[in-house]
Amino acid sequence: MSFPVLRLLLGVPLGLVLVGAVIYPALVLVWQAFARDGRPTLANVAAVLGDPGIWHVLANSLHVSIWSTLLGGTIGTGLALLVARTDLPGQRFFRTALIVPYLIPPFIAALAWLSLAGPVGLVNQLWMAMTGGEEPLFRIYGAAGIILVLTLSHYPLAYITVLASLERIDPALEEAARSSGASPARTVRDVTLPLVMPAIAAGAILVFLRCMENFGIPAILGFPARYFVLTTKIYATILDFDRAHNFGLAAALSLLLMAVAGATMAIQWWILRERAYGLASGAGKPPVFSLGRWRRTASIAVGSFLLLTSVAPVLAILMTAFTRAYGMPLSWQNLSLQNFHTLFFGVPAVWRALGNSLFLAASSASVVIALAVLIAYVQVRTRLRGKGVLEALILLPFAVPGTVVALAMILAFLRPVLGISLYNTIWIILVAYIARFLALAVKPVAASLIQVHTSLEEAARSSGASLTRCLRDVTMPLIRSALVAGWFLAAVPAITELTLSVLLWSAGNETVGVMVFNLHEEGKVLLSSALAVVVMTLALASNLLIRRVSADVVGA
Amino acid sequence: MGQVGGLRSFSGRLAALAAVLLLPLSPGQALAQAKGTVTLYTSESLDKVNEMKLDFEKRSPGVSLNIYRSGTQVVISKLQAELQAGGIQADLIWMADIDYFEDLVRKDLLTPYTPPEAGRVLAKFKYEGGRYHEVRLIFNTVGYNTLRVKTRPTSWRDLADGQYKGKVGVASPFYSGAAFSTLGTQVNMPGFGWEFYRKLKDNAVVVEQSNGTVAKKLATGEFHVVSVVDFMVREAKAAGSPVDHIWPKEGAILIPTPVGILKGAKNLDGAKAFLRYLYSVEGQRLFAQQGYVPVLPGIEGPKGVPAETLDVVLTDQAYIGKHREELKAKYRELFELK
Repeated sequence: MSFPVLRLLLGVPLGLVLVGAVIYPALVLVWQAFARDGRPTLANVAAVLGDPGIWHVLANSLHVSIWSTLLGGTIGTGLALLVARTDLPGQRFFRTALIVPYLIPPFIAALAWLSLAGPVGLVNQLWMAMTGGEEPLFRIYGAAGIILVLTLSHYPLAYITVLASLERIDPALEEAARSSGASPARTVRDVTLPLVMPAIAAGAILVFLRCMENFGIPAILGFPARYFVLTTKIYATILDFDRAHNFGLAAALSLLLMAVAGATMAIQWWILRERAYGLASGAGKPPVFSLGRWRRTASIAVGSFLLLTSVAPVLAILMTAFTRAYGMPLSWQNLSLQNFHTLFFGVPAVWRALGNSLFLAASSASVVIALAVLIAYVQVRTRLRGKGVLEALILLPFAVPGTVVALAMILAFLRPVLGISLYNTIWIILVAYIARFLALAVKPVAASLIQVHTSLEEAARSSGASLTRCLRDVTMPLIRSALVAGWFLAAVPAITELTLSVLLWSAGNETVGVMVFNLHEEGKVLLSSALAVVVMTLALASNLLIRRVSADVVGA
Repeated sequence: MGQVGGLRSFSGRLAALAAVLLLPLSPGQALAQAKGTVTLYTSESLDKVNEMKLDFEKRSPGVSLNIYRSGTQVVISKLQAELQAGGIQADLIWMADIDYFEDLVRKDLLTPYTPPEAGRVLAKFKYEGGRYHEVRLIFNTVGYNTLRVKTRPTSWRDLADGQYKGKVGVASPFYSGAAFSTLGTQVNMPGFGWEFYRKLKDNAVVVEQSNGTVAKKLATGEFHVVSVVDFMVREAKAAGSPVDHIWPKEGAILIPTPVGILKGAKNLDGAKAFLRYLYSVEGQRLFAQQGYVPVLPGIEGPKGVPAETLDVVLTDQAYIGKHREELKAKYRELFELK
């Protein structure tokens, strides 16, 4: 095969996807923000910026995200230090267990917390029974509850980032401080923390971005208190048919949300740029600071933290899922499998939704991994001009909030494009997933392709192998495990996805995340809890799978 | 439905053949031939409408019902978006916003069709010459938690009773069609009006998004008394939750939740078949079993519904339609809703 043909083969599908799923929707979104009835205008932007309610919503977004970042960053950093630098008993167990909250989809976590600490959740029931009063101890609806669940769903991001950095610091630096007579506390304060500061900042920014773009938690815990953040406001605006130009207003709101995310990412880039110092290839073992007589206390504290924040909400939602009559006291008579029976035998849509989610996950991951190979090849093996643009296009749909991606898809495909109607079909969700999860698959594939030295391919080529044969017999086998890992990295978040599909689903094309959300919205708490338990099991199982298949690539 | 079940026998096939030949003459017979997928957009309860789907499909082999279910507001937004995009994809719509149906009639977007099964149903439930239909009755009533409330309430006014301060729940007229109909009716009821809503506000009423949430929180005791649609309370009570409801002495408020066939429905025969099913004895019995009051005379209603002596306040659609914005604006102002 000649080179130009190959180029064409690589270029056409890639170009199609990038234009169709990224560039075109992005342009339509921006156009809609600055147009009404097909004419350019600043009316939408003016309406958004001139509405004091919107500034209030922006303040809400910043309020919950900043608090969750401070709390999550502190918790994550503290736990990483305990796990990586001390003689904490049960360290090996904690090391993995502390990641678990991150594996549960945020909207499921919100539902679990409702079961535990909602107005009539276990905690408040116990409190009211103890005090005989009728006032709940804790109000989970509104800012406090959103901050709580955002923090506990996202602290693992800070934890993972800081942990990785702690393990890469040159141990000699801390050893030097210790042997010069510095106390363990002083060493941590003056040497360790400054060294991992860039990682702490990077982790915190990651937490902040994820909190800003989260939809499920503020939707479930904010709507009842009429507490809106930018993502839920965009959602509500899209659905506000009574309001003229609601799509344009939602598009303008999206730009506001993107501006906040963009500014944050600029800061992130600036911090990561500074990150090169103090890290070594990790020769030698890092020092261990003995907790002394606090060892047991520390272990009990971390264990209780896990029990309270990870185990308790899961147990609470399990209990709700197995409840027969809501509002009756907990008893053996009130436990039943009724809810699961209704779900799986009385609501055909449940099976369809599960099927849809698995289909979307498998097909989007397959498309994405094929594209990832092309992209990685271009990035690593060619000196194509405009590689930076390519990278930006791939990152864009992953970096902007999911609600914005969904709105862009609606605006782009509401009317048939080139005679093809995507709106109201499952394919619009597929296109959105491909755009959204592409970046996840490119990373491991590109990383492993870099490790495959060109001399191997050159040897094959000079022995007379065609380019295709060379790719098939030399390159592919070497990057196979990265392909498997990339496939799973893209597929797993798609299985339990909510933010995109809640705006893009149509009759017969609901995802399982949408089912849970709709059952919850309808007030069917028993059924939504039961389905949430199913989704949670699915998420944990697929994440276990991902860890197995990607252990050698991602080093997780 | 015998004519469908008999298709396997020889005479059944003959009848079917005759039906096909006579198709232009007797549209009623042709409905037995309905097939393919019928798409329904609805705000009906998810599990109930799915139960209905299974029963309908069992009785009409070859037809499958495809359901898009969400809140009334979300369903209407979808319809609006599809209208903008050049055509509604649904064959039928069924939801708690009669105003929107009126709007569709004005735009001539609904197909008039009155199934033969609906013959004995009161004419007032076959709106606009059969362009849309009330296929079963839902009422807004006063619900209470039997563990928390000592004396059974009797009136709408009990919602404003100081002993329940902060423990009174209602659904938001901005999200729930039922709550909007209730609001539009109560502001015109003698001795109620906006004054009643001001009293509710003084009683620290909690405005929830949906009726489902109100009913749920009534069951858990978070609310002691509520304004809520009747069947949800009966359903929770049947499941064993500590709740019940009363028919207020001023009258329960009928909540229209009509169903209609859209102009340009892709599967018109299928849509008609589903409407026929809803009016059929089997469909009406399933409604009763699900806790709804059937609309077909002679079908036994669900337990806990006073049969003939219902004091019912009919919603004044003309008033609500004309004052839609004003009602919402005043309510928003009173409860400071965004």
